[in-house]
Amino acid sequence: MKILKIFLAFIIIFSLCSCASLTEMREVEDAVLVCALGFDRSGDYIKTSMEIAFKSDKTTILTAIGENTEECIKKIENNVPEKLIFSHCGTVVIGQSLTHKTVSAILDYLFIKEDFPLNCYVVSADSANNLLNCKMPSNEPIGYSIAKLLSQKSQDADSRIFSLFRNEEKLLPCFKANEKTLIREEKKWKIN
Amino acid sequence: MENKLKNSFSGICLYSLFFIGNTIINLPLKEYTKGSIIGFLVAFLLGFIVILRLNSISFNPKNSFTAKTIYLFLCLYSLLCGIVTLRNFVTFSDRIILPEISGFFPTLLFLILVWFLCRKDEKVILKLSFISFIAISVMVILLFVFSLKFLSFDFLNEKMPTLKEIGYQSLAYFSMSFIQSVIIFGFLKKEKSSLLGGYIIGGAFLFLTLIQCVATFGFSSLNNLLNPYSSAVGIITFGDKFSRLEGFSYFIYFACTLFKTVIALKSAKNFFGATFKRCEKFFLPVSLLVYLLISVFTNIFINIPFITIAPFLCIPPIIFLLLPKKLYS
Amino acid sequence: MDIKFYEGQKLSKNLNKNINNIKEIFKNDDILRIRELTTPSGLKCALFFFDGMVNGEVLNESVVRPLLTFSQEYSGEKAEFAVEHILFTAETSVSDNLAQMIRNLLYGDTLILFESDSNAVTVNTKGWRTRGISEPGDERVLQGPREGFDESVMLNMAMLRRKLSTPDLKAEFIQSGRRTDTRMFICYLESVVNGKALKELKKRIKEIDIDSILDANYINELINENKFSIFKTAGTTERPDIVAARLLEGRVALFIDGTPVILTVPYLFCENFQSDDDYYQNYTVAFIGRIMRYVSFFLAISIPSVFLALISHHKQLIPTSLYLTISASRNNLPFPSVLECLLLILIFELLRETGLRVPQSMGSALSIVGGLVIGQSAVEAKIVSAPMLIAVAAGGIAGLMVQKLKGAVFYSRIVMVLLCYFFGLTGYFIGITALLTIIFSLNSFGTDYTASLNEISFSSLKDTVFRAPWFKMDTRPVISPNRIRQRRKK
Repeated sequence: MKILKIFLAFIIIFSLCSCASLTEMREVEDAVLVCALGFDRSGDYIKTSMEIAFKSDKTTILTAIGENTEECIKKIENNVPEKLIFSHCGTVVIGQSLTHKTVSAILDYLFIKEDFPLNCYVVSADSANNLLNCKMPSNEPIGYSIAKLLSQKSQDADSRIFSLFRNEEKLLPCFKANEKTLIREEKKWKIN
Repeated sequence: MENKLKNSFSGICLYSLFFIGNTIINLPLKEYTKGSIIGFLVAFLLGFIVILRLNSISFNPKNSFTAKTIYLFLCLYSLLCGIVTLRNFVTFSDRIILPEISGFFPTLLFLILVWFLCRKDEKVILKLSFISFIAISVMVILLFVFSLKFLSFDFLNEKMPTLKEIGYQSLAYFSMSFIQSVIIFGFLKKEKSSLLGGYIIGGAFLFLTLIQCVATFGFSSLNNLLNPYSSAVGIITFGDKFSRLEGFSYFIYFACTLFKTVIALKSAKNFFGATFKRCEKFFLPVSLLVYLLISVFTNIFINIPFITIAPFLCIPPIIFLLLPKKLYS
Repeated sequence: MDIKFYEGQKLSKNLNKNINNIKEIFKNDDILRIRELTTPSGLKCALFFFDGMVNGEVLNESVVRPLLTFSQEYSGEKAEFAVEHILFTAETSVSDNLAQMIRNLLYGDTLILFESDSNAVTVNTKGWRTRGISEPGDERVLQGPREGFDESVMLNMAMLRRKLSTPDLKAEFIQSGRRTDTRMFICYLESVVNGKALKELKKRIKEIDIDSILDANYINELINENKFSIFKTAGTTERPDIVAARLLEGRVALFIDGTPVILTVPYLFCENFQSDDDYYQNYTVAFIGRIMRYVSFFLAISIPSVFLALISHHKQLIPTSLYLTISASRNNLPFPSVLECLLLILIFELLRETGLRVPQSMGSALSIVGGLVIGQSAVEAKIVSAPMLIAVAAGGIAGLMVQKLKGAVFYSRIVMVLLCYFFGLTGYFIGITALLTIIFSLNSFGTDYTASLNEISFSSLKDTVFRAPWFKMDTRPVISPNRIRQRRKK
């Protein structure tokens, strides 16, 4: 009888805990991946472009303008019914129109953001939005294509976010959008 | 056939997990400099004195008023150590492991597990620690080896810290990890030969994780990370496909917190039982309820400056260790 | 009436009265045969036996013929005289205890009652047919002996005796079961047995009060100290070589009449992962099998639950390409992932159970239903997703590797799935810790269930996670008492 009472108590507690705990949980099909982030200057504001993979072969670029990164990201989140998963972000593209102070603020925010991967690559381009709008021949999201390209070269390891913060000299590889492809430029962009 | 545990290896496993404890979750101070590493080593060496002193005393409850007062303070100290450990893990769990669900329920489940373990024999806890230790030691060593290509030892070129800085850092490590070994006094009444071995191995693993964190991120960016070890493990990629290994750090945090909390509670229970024999059976439910309420419904431990809590963690055990044996044993 | 009703009653000296008494006891039992005869010397007697239970040839040649041809004078007590001078059988006994006579009669012996004598002779004429020695279906080996026990306890004892030809082997007789009066033997090797387990077993069997004992599991559940545990704490086997090996390690075996299953105690957790083949093949091959079983047990519980935890709570831990595949496959599914997982686990268990019970001729139809219908069609119809099906199937197949833990794996898997769905990896760690705690705190007849971990050394662990070669197996496992640990000199 004692065992039965303990068992029943356990079942009740467990059921209450379990049901009450599922407040904001989303299953894998209710969440979408953020493949790449891009930041450009838009007057006195920041224009954030986000490459989102809705299905394995379909990506969309969403943009928002705000005073800082957090505000832009929140605006995009409010417009997307699914939950955004940042932990699979492959590349962050920094537009060369941004000031160094803004770039530092962006990178600081991304570094502290808890679900943001610290081994995400950071590159620069004339226009981050244009770069993210390129279509790769393999239909792979542009963020992952750039990350794959950079991971093959060991000298590009320093362009990961955590390496940038560790090193005194911060050099970002440069990319250029050319109609339907990417072009890797020889020069590197210094941000400190 | 005797059912006693025959050798001390399980004890070494348990104590090494105790010493890793909550220190691995977020290293005590958010002010990393070269002084952190030197401070750690200084605290580790100081801890040897504590361990040698603990090895010479054993818990034989006395009936005198002085002894009971000492046991009561030790009980409160054990509870404090336990709640600090638990709060660290609960915060981590709430923010990183399960951000989507309310923190109350996983904490409740964790405390039910702690209660379940506290009711079991010491033998069960020792065997469990043996299994966990094997897994954790393999994980820590392998993760360090895999992270070698991401490490940069440029931090060695930084300027030497001042003595004040070293003292401050060593106080952090000493109070958060090494001095808390005093609570082991109430846990295992006879078998203490494994304490020194566990201390050395636990300290070595902690040092390894500290080096890994510092060499991965450098001192300045470490200050911005809430959970440096978890982040350091998260950046490890082995080949193209083998990545996202943070799950291992979750297990390490979980296991170390669990064993430290269980030891703290069991010691507290033993100390309480030596003081108030009749009320011993109410101790565990009441203390777990208090733990649950404090860990979930208050945020006092997040924002409290470390230097405020350090005296409470350091001074009572030092006083206890300086007292003559005959007062309490 | 139970046999116990007749305890203390004795026969009378009047043969006719005794015959009527026995007829009354076995009223309406038409299988009982009574043969009244008178020897040439005038000795009147009556034979009682059950048709089908006696060996007719032994009865005729060793009992009836000698009685009918005995023409000499008799003297003294007739029963004693018949045993010493008339009967041609090796095993006889004389008794006036009615209950004992009925027991022997019911077990296939022939009862002989004499005029003017309240004692009766019991002659061993057991001759019922048995299944014969065959290989047990659940314990097949690739290499090694293939004989298995059968339902006759005396035959089983004989088979064990052939393996352990030593006077150290003891077999204590015990009976239990109010209506079945089942015969049992407690066997052990006196010089190596775990005395605590032996004492405990005898005590618990004596405390049993049940109507009938038809199988070893009746005893197993009645003597189990962990009544609600999902892990068994008494071993079972149908192989004489395994029983002999366990006795040599200090265990106690319980032989029960009417079942080929033998119980051995104490039973350790590591024995769930031991296979008979491990000892008959090279240790290098055995090592792979052993490791795979441990890993399979872990995977059987973990794979579906960890998968569920990752897709529900820890999306950051899934590799990106896999995440996209899983996400695409789960699009437009009607059920949440936990329901899908539980449904697939249920279907897998149904298929497994049906596979055991279905007639052989329908086996191929079952595999078609399982594979095509559930595997392919359910995925194409978007009722379940392929990754979840793979995860559950992988866990199920891993579970099949450890048949001895069938029940434990099933219950653990369900609990872990629920914990992982609601609490993610935290729930997984909590579940695994709780499971290990339960295992570590179990007890089997006075011995820790995980006694091998009491001493972390090569000698205690050499037959657990791996099987050391025979030239290294110098000592008995930890359950043996210390006084005799060396098998052979080093």
